[in-house]
Amino acid sequence: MLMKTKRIERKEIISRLKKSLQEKRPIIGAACSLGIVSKCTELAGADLVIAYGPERALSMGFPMLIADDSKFTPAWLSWLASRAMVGLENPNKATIEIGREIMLVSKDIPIIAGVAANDPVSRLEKVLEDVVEAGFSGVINFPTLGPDPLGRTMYSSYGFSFQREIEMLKMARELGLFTMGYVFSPQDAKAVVECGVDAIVADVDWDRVRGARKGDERLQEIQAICEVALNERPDIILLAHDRGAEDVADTQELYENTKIVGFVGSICFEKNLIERGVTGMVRALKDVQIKGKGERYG
Amino acid sequence: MGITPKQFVLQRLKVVINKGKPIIGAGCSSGLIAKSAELAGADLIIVYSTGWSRLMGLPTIMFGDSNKVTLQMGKEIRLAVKDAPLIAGIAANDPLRRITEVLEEAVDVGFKGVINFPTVGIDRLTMPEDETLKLGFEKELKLIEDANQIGLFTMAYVFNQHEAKAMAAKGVDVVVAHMGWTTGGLVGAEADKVKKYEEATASTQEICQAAKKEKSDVILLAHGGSFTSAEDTKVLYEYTAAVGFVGASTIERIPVEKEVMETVRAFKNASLPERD
Repeated sequence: MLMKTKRIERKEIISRLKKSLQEKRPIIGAACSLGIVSKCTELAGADLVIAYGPERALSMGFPMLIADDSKFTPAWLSWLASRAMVGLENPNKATIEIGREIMLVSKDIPIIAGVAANDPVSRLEKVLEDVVEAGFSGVINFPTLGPDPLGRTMYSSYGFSFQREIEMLKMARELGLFTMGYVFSPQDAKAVVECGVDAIVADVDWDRVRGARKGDERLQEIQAICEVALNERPDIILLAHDRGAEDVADTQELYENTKIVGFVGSICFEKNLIERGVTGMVRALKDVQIKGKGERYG
Repeated sequence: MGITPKQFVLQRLKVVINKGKPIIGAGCSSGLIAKSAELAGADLIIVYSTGWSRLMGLPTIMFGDSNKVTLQMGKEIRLAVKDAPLIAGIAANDPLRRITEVLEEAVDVGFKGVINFPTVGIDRLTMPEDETLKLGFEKELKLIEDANQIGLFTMAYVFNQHEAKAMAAKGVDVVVAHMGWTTGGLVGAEADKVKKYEEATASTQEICQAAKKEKSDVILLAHGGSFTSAEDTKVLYEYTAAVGFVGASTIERIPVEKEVMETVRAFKNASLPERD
């Protein structure tokens, strides 16, 4: 029953991803904090599982972070969750623990660790050592300071910076790990690709880009990120993050109108699908009428 | 003078029963699941230590210090639940604590009721019917007795009429006819290892009758085995005295597996355009 994944070599991961692209299939990564979700994403054909410690705050259903209307996905939710998680547990410790759980039920899929490079209490070298030892195949810079320009400057005087995330990716690359970088602007993209990552994950505001066609100014930022990255390294793999993405039609649209070739789902997979599954089932069970028994209980 | 948790829960359940709606108890192992279940109308949020294994993608298994785990999960889940009553799955055979201590702690966490789980019954599915009564089931009877005494709402999983009778005699509020591990999904029990529909229906009805004979106002529910969908419960309500259903794998495992697999497959099956 317990399958226990083995670490998959970087070269092997890249060749698998390239193969998927040759077959004109997008690359799908799923950010998971629960074994049941990672196991099912692998069975469904996903290419990468990303263990996110902070995502557990979402599956814990933090009331202050999760809106009652499950369709409503507040912007920066995962980022907020990552901060909330810092109050609960060290995000890197959580990621490693969750990774171990996920590996118990995975077969043959690369498990990527979401590493908080700005974790103030851990030494990065040690974190990456633990990541390798736990059996992860790669890393990504998450939680990230990325999405918040104010946060970046606000924290910089204390030594927290996006640059540190880039340093982390560089170190991971030197350890032979597969590396993915979250980016939020063309400048980020340039810096991250320069440090030698294998894939970038561009932050996309899906509510904004939905319906946009080639040349639309709403796609400018994403296109600029793609251009900069491809200029730097033509074989870089360009993925999009899920902030606000609702269904497969959204991603199909983006593939057609930009150079993005894949999707990393977090809220849109784990949180939304748990909500949808559970509410659907309970509603169905509750929706049954019972005849002629009520009066007996008075 | 306030009302006891028992009175609070029973009042709510009687409203549901009088409306002709089934009582749905949802086994929930994370705040998000509990929150979703409550939003969808679940009447009872039940916390089992074993539930965590389901979320890990494993079959439902028991490990660790059950009561400690359940109470800890309760602390997490209470944050996400508005006013559906929380029920604690209590291991009556806790080797480390007196059961009265466990119950006090459960009250502190905010649980309004208890159910005997893990139960010896589940380990002894292959034994002669009345044997479980001798194998520690009396501790579970004592658990229900103690919980009744401090005004907690009480539910009991039973596997046969002997257990049903004994629990009803202790004044349990709800008897849940347990039909074995839930079938279906990726890690469910094999369908041929549990009672078939007709057999499960007959067995549930036998349990209902035994319990009712002992305590006429006992609320009767069923759980597990081949009952895994709304359609299945229609049959259950039609042919037995049960007025509701307790689902755990049925609610937090099988639908999640299905949703994740379908959705991720759809995302993967999108196609990329030709690039120059």
